Amino acid sequence: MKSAQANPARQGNLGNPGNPDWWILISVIVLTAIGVIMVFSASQYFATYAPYNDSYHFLKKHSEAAALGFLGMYIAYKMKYEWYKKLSWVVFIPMILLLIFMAASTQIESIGGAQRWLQIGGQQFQPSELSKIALPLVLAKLFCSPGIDVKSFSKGFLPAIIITGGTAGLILAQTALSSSMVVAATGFLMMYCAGVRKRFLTGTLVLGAVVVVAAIIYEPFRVNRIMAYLDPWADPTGSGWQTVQSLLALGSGGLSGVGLGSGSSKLFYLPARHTDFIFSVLGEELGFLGCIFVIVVFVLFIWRGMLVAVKMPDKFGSLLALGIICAMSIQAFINLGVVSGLLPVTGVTLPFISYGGTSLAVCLTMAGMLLNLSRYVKEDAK
Amino acid sequence: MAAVKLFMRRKITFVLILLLIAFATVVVKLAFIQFVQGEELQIKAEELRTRDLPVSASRGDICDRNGNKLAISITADSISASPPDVVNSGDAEKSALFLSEKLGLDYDKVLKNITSKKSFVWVKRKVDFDISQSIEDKGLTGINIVQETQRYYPKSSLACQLIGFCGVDNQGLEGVEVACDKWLSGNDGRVVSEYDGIGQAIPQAEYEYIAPTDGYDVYLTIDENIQYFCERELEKLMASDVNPKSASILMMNPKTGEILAMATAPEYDLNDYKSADSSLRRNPLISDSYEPGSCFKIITSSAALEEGTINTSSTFYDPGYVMVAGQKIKCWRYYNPHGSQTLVEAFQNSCNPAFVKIGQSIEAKEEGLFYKYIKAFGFGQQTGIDLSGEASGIMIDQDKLGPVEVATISIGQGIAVTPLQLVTAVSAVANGGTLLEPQIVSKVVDNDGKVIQNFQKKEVRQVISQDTSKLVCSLLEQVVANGTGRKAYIEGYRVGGKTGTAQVAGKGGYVAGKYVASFIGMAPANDPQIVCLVVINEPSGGLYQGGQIAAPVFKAVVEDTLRYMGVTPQVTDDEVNNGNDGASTTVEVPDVTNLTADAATELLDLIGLKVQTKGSGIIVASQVPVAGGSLEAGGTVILNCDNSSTVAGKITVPDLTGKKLSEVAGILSAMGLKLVYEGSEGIAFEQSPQPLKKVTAGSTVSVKFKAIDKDEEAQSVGP
Repeated sequence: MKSAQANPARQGNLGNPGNPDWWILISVIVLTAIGVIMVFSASQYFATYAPYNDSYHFLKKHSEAAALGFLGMYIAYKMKYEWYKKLSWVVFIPMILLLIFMAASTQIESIGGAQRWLQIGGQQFQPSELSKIALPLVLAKLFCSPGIDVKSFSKGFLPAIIITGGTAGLILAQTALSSSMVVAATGFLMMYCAGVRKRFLTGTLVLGAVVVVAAIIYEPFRVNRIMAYLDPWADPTGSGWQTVQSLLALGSGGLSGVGLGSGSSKLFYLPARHTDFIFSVLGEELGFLGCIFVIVVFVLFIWRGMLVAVKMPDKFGSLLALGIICAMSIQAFINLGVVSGLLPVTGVTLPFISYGGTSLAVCLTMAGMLLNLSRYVKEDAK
Repeated sequence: MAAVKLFMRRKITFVLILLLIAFATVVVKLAFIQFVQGEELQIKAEELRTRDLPVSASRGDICDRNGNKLAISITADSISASPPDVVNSGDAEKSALFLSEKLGLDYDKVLKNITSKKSFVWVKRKVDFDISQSIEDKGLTGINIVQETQRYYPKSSLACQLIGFCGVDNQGLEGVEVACDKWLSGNDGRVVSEYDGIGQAIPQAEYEYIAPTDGYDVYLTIDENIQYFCERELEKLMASDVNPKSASILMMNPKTGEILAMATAPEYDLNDYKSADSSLRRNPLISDSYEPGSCFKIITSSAALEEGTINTSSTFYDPGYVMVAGQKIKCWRYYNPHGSQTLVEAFQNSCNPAFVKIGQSIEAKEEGLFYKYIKAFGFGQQTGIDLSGEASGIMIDQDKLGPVEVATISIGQGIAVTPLQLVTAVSAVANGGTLLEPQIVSKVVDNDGKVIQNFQKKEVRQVISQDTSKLVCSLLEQVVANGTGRKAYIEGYRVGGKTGTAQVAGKGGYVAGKYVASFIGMAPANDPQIVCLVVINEPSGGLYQGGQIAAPVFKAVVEDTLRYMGVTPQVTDDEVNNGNDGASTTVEVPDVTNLTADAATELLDLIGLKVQTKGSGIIVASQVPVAGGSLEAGGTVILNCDNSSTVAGKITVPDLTGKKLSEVAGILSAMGLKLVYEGSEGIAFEQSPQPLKKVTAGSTVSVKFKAIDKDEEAQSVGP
């Protein structure tokens, strides 16, 4: 054990795997199931209209994505733990190339002002989602690599900030500020926990803030969203529309909701009702109790995930678990913040619940990785 | 390395805490939204997705007193569009082109309208049937024909200023339509339905239907036929040489205050009110004030006679003018003064100095008394008729009432009245002295014919006594019989009335050459059934005196009306002319009704009056002039003995009170009635049945007599 801890980066053997954390598995299944139900409820009405003409359209697609995701979860779970280290750059480099391609290409379909989807054989694929797996993997690997000293600027901080900033920057180039922020925050928290010096971190925060402000000023629609955020009721049919509709939906829910399937906000009032604003539909139909239930399950997931990070016997596993949890919880928080009007409107999905094939598959795969790690947790690890 | 792990653990725990705080913030915000703001947001969301589509109630009809329809509701087609359907059809441009051509609308506006972001828009409301039919036949997607109710006036311009009209939403805008809107409109129903965010009705949503309540029918007091007589005469007048700017007639039943006709020319077509000038739409009979001129002398003399400051034997001297507080008020015939006149003559001559003196005599008795009477007759205040836009007239404040004002108001100048006020006041003079509130609505009836509200006669106050009333009526009868109102005389009817001619008041005085000619009168004078006012504004044909141009209109209208109402003619032309020849001294005509013809002749002969008997009856049913009226000595009293009661087999019980036993016995036996009496001394003071009761021939009338003292007896016998 001592030798293993002395050089964890080269030590693949963490002992025999035990049982996975059942709480994580249960919470993921529960959240995904709620997602399937809510996607159907939210999409059923508008899916009957062109171009879908099938009220089950989104249910089918989402179920397919969930099946694919559980497959990914199973593979990630069954995969040998050592493979994560080996695969990290293998996953990361193609992803970076894809992002560069996305940012540069003119062949990209432009939807809602954001170029985020890659058309592959009729299926839309969002490369930025992949970064949520790739970045934790590669950063965890980086901090455990030989010749890396987290306390050093050039041998620790600089490579980490280049990887994080580069990924975030490429995503930002697709005008996906929120996804970029999720990635950047994940990288930042991983650096913080890995032990990067405080002054480097402070500098990073300042730099990040400057980039965010610049990004907001650069795109006029973001300024509008900030104005709408400050007072959505000033223009309830224009820039404040999304927030107002979300608040109307949530407010109509009250304590226990209007009943599953009975909500009205999804009837073309609420935008992105089955994706970014699915929590509003849930809040309307299942009320405060339904909201609390989902948040409690999320917190359970985060808490158990963090326990894995704390109790992992090696630094790589610890940082990887942390990165996975951070990526998903930050994304979940931003989504809930947008839906409840705490944050300006920005397009991120709610992990496990929102419709979106790539998002769901990636989330479930990440959950599979976390479950994989959880088998190596050492209760006595100090 | 263990230190490194511990160090990391603390940092990871810190990150976890940060995340938990973030999620806790979300929970707090959600609780705020869902509990604190919940209700408000829910209402807003509901408002956003529900739409009320009105289901219009059918507006009630407006009828005349006999139920003839003056305003009805008919269905009309309106063109509406459902923009989402129009847009989805992809034929918006084609539809817009077709609609704009068919409906005569601007293409761009139609296109913008039918592709707007609403769920329902009107393209054009209330279009002709053949147009809506052709649009329906075309079958444009998203374009619908909706049936609405529309106001229709079957008599087009009849009583247009009175009835008024409605707007496109069937809301009353003018006249009775607006005044009685509360009854006519009913309550619109509505369909509350839910719509999705793109304006489509939600298929499974619950619809709430609130049925409309149809409006009530309003029955007016006017009579379509009488209204027609008036409008016909006004039309003739407008086309005649008189060629006035406008003219109006107002007719009232003085016994009930019901308005029988309210007509003004020029008229406009209610079904096309939009093309009528707005000045034509107002009802001058209630909204416009004018100087009544000599017509107001009725009021002046009624007050004076009531207060006893003049009587039938008063005489007046007219030098052609009268000086009041240093100001000279001329008589209209100043160039040929009337000289010495009796009251009847003053009336017949419409002599200004005489009436100034009459007005002054009231003020002389008690300061402010004349003013009190004017107020009591209802001038200077609204009559309270159920119509909107009523004016109060113009009356100076009492503290500004000086001698000049008293003088001018006595002859109807320096005071402005509405025609309705004047008719209402003269009705009080005609009906025995009671001022009534004018009525325009007789009843309100619901769909099932159930009467919702019935309008009863409303007495405001007793202004003058019955005796004064009778006296003034007989004086007015003289004006028509042999005075300025001669042209209002109707063969076979007893008509009383007064002419009026006033100058139109403008800025800083009277407008030269602009007159208001009027005539107000009543018929029959002994028992007025109608009071009628004719006002002619700014005649331009040379003649402008009320007696010349307004009186003939009055005659034409009243004659037709009396015949239409079935009022029995009473006297002939000849007889009246005979009655008007004679000497200069006047005597008061005693009451000889219900006496036998012989007894009446004897009595009238005694005071120097001649008698003409008309009809084959024995009992005097009525007399001309009526009791209390003045007649020049040697004049003729016409006794109408054509007692219809005897003809019909039913006998009207006469009023026997105040008569001696011998007279009572004579009357009753002549009428074929039996007498049972109590006490034989003195005069009758109680009888049964009561006067005017119908009894069969041979019935018994019981009469009680009581002794009286000499003075009273002398009074009861007569002059």
